[in-house]
Amino acid sequence: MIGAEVMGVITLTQVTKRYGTTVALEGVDLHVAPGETLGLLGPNGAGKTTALRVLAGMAPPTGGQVRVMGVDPWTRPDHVRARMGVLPEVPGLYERLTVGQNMRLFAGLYGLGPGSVERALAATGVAHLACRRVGTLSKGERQRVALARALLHEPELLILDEPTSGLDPAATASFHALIRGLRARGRTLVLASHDMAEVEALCDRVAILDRGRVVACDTPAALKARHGRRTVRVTVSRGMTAETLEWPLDDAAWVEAVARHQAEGTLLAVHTEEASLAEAFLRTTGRDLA
Amino acid sequence: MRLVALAQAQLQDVVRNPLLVLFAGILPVLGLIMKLAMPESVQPVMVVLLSVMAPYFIGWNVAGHTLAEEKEKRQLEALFLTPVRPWQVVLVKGALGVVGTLVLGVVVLAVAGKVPDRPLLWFLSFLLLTLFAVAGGTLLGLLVKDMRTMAIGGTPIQLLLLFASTLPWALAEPGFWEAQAWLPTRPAVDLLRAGLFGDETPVLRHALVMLAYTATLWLVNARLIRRLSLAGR
Repeated sequence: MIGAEVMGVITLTQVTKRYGTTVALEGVDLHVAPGETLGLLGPNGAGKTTALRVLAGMAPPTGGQVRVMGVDPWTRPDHVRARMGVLPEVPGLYERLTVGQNMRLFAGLYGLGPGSVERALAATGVAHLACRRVGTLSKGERQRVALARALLHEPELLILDEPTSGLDPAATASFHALIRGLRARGRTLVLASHDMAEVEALCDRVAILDRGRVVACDTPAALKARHGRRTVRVTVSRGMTAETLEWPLDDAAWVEAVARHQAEGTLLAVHTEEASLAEAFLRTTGRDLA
Repeated sequence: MRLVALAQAQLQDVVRNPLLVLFAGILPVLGLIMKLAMPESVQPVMVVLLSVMAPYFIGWNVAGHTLAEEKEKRQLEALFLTPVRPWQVVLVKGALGVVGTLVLGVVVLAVAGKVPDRPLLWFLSFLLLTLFAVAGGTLLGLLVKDMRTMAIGGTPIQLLLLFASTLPWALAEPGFWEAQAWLPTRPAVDLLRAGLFGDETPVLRHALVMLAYTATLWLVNARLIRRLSLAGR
């Protein structure tokens, strides 16, 4: 068997998934190397969650080949799940139980002792919540507990489905810090999100999904360079008001305009703007991420 | 270890479930009211009614309601992301339902002050009805997607199974009453009555009828659990 190092932690080859006549994934190719963080970016219905379900062995592909840590997760789910943690979009915690009781349940299902519970709760900064009922926790606290649950068995691969959806900015920032910590410790992460800033800040590479297809996959910088456009903004005076004019950086018209306004004494400011991932998304999919 | 962890957590969850606690609490209270307020002549009918209600209130609901709730709250999905198997989840819920019902059955009899005339027959009849009720609850829990559907679909069926066999149809519709001997619950009711009060009844026939229904339900459940295994893993 070829080792996971050579194969990549995840390899999807021409993966298709259909539900009846609905195509959820179409010819998806993805490769995730050990220690890498891959972002799946796309609007609702783009196929992100389906891709994660296929990776987690919760749904078989209709076509193509899926390999997670060298094996097919659908035919050998136990092998994969022993080495993979999943944070679903809905945490699925037992609300009437305490955090500690929830964690002990899942530790028991993995055949782990109480030490793993303490370690996982401490790693996500929620050890102090162990005696609180989940139903009394904030959404951010629940997400942290669910992350602790996903880390119980110290998985090599962690799958995060919209981990900060619905969190307030402070909770989001705190969750991002946790994810950065996991990255720093060399875990392989797959993060599905429709938040551009989140994906750009946390991921080594980003796969843009649109209607079940991967329309682009590269580092955020490369995606922006290839699909985004640097722009020039020229602010000019119009009597008592100011107006901002915008051109692509590679359009010579702005040079002419700047020269003209300078000569007329109406030029107020010129600055360039970096391409954004949002623009790269817009240009690769032909629509905004909403 | 998996089954122990599951059973412990399920028990902790069930005892904090207000609906199930209400169901468990209401029968002993009814038994007490019956003992204190009703004439002795109607008490046998009430003891049988309470004995039939216990499996449907606890066995049915522990197995079915909790499955529906765990589906709705995506707890089952989280469970199935671990090495646990769906049949293990269903087994633990069913076992909790059976044990809880048996305990409640004994409590109800104790409160009502009734010692079965034929204790072994009472126990086996009660166990048989409980296994049937747990199978029915599990079937609905496996079929529905959420608690609302469980309530809408399950309550009428529960009421039908419960009252069609315990209300005094024999007086009004003797033909209907005879036909019920081949339908679920009434054979168990007759067996329970025989266990509690020593009534004469075709024990083997009733037991086989109830066993046939129970086995059929569990066979259907096994197919659904297999489907759940494929969909959930």
